[in-house]
Amino acid sequence: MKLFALLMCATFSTALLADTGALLDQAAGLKAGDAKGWTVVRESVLEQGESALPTLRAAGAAENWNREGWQRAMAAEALRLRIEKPEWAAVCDNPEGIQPAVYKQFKRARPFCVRDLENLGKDATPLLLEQWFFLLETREFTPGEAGKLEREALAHALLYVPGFHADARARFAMQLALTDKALPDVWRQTAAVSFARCGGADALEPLCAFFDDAANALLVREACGWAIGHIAGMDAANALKARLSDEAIIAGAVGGNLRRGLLTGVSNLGSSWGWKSRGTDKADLALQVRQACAEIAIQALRDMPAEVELISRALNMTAWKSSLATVTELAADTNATAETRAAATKCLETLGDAIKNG
Amino acid sequence: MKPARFVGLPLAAALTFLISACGGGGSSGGGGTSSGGGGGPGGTPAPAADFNATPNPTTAGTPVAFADTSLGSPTSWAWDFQDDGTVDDTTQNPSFAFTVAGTYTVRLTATNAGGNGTITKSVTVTAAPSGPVADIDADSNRDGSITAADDTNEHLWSATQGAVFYFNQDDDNNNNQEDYLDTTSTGTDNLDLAPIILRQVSSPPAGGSAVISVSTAAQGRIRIFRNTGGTWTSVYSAGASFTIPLTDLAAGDVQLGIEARDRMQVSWDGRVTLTYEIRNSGGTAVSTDAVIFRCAPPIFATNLWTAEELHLVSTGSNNAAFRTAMQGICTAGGITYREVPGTSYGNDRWIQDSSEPAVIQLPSPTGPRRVIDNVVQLARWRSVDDWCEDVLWGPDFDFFRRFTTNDDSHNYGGNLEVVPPYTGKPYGQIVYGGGTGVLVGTSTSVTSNMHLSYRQFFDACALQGPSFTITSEWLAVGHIDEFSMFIPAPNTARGFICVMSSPTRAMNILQTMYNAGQGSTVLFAGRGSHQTTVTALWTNNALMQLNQETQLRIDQARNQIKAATGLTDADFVHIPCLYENVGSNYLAALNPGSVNLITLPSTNGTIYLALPDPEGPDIGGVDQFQLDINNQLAPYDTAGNPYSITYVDVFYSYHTLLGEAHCGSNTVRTPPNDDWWNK
Repeated sequence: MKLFALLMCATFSTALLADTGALLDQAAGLKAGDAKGWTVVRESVLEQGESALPTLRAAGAAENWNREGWQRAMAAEALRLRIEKPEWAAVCDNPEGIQPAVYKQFKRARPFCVRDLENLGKDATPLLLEQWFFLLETREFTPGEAGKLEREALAHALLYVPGFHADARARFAMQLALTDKALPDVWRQTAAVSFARCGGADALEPLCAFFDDAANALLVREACGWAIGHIAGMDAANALKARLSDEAIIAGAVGGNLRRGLLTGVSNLGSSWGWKSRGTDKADLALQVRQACAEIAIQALRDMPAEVELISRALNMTAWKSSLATVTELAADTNATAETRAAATKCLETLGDAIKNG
Repeated sequence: MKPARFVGLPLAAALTFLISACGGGGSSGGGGTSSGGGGGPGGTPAPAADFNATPNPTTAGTPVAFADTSLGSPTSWAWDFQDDGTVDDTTQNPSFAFTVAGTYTVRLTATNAGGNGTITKSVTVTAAPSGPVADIDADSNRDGSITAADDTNEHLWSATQGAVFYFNQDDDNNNNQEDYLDTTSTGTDNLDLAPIILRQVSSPPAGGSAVISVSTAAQGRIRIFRNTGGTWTSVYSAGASFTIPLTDLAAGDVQLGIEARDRMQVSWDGRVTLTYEIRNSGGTAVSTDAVIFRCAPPIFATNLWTAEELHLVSTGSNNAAFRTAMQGICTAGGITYREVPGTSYGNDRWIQDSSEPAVIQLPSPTGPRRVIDNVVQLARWRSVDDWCEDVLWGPDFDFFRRFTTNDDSHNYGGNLEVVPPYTGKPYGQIVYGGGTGVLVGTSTSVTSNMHLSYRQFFDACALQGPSFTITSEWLAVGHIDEFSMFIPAPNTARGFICVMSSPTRAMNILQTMYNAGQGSTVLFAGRGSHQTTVTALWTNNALMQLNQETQLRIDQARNQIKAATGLTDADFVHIPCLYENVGSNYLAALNPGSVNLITLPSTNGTIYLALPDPEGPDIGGVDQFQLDINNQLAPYDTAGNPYSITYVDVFYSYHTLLGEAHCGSNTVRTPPNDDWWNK
């Protein structure tokens, strides 16, 4: 009798394990936005409770977060966290900052929920991806205009926070969002930056390709310029430089959006404080990249002085010491155009302080 | 009674006079002869005396305004209006009424350290007209009563002349509507009317009329009452003019009172000229007089004014610690502490945003001036906006209702500050946030501004203008008190400093601690999911990058303040604060922003500063952000006017809701002891 019971228990457990794996396979096959399908899977797994954890842990292991398997891994990790960290899941299911009763108390009575999700930390990323990938599309918000704002706030937070934490697990979801033409451009802009921060060097080529493709939405291409600046390395600097050398871009093609996006990338990439915080082991690379960014910005003064606001920001963020002398010379260079001299002069208004603080 | 200014009748007599000249060695020209202008003993040239006389020619009894136009910066003046060797006046720009027709030689001797210069000019005086005389008088010399001394230049506004009136928005009769809406005036509200006297008219023309015309821009924006047997009733509220029966004027003086019933704006600078005509039966003016008024503008409080009352919204246990701390500070400083029940206002705690406190000053017969408290309600449209109406409004406490239905957070009170007084700006200068710029980390350009109706109002009030904008469009709320505040600093030349948030100082502290092996030091201990460490913050390069760019935006705002006011780098103090993206690339303070402080100068001389506790990293019980703030403020902490610094807990009660301490307070203050109309 005892033996029978043990056998039954083992069989049941195996069945559970098999069921969990099968359910994850099912989750991996769901389309984005299939909240109904996902909810069925989710509830089935959650019914198993902690007994599902070994399978979930294995399925959510770091090595499974690849292009082919990330959706299954994400489902597994989100389910694991729902069992182990239900308080995190509760926050993700209903961030305070988009609840009218809460945000109507804000100093500006609009929904903001980045803090709610950001404070959960990097480990909570799968829960954010679950919300983004499966649940947001059909999530209910307050009727009317308020609900639109709540939706905007949540979407931005779900796309922004994984990038803030530079969580590599989110890179595929962010890339999908970047390329999803059905999404609003401003969401895809946020996704572009997060893709860069999560994907690191691997994101550079797709971002450049997206930027270069005139068929893509202009605002999203522009944001790819910002995003390239979040990939810390000389390859990103060279990518920005090459595109800012393009005659059409120099000339302000498509309303100047592209060159403005790239100049923002120079600003982001050259950030002296960004490099300091990356640590002393990156000090040599920091010097190379910042010098390159300063040179790109100074060349931009010659090529596109009308963009002085963004060029000045790039110079100030890069805070490259010798750029002060170079820009000073440029401001007095009679061989330069009047526009360039004026732009250089404008930059000098703040560059000294920026270098001192940089 | 006095003679009319402008006379429509043919002149009874006119005399032409020669120009009399005197003085040796001078040059002559124009309408006079002058002398002097040589070098004095110290090398300072003596003045080249000169003046203008208006009107000239004139009629007997009509004051003539003499305006000194001497060169060489004279320091004293001697006027001899009849050139009889007697000095009649020693002020720079006197007036004088010649009572008898004739030609008068007027002599001005202007003196400085280098000597004196003299000029004489002639004034032609014709006989006073016969017949009825129009005479309208007001308190044009602003001494609180109407006397003969008010006659001089009563139609001109200057630092010494021109009557003041009031936009009558208080509720003296407690009928729950602004007094300017009342068509009768009773009791103490009569004090809010600027008095006017139409003098008795002798020999009124048969079939004639008395017409008072209102200058075009003011038409419909003022109301005039007439006192009949103690009852004040409206006789004008719209249109180009109104009349008073000549029979009444023939019987005696007629008493009027004027109030404004609109605010200053682009199309009206608050001035009104009343032109009073006595017309004959054909409608032709036979005598005319005029008087000018200017509506007293609200003078917005600066943080240098002594605090009288502090108002906070109670949200129960949520902000109990904050309220207890502030109540203690008020008790120590002799400041009245007043709580607004949050339950009455949906727990809308952002009382700073509801309205901007000010005062209105009027001439008074009983003292140097009369002060009416005032608040300007801002275009916000949330619950506690009604606080000023519910709690403050009443007799001698008025308020401007919202100017627009627009509801943008850039309209709110937290986005409006007054740079304290400095040279050339005796009441300071209004500054607010907004502008056009790119969001941090992006090339997305956004534009946000305080609503035009408010910006135009501030400038139309003129005393604290021109107002100017500093960048704040990059913030989620968008208020300048999120990164800047003016506080008293009596030991500085200006008497104040501008405290600004400094992400750079905060990052430096994090970097120093991290490099010293103190990366595990906690921030926001006990604050749930907000709790973090030095390492977590410092090693997030995106966060540091964002804060570097935030510093650039704050530097931009600082440069805008410097450009508008002439403040220098020495006038700014920088205190640590980090910022973060709270949504769609708009920023807010990551830790409680200590710059969002409450400034309470007290009558005991102590300057109480309630700063949001920045909750920075703690080493050995010492908050490193607080330590840095204390060190930055220490040079301005004097024995005569010591700072009393309190760090108040605002974390859950305000900070996590996107505001801090200043945002949650509003302070009624005592204005300086002077008269705006003399400025």
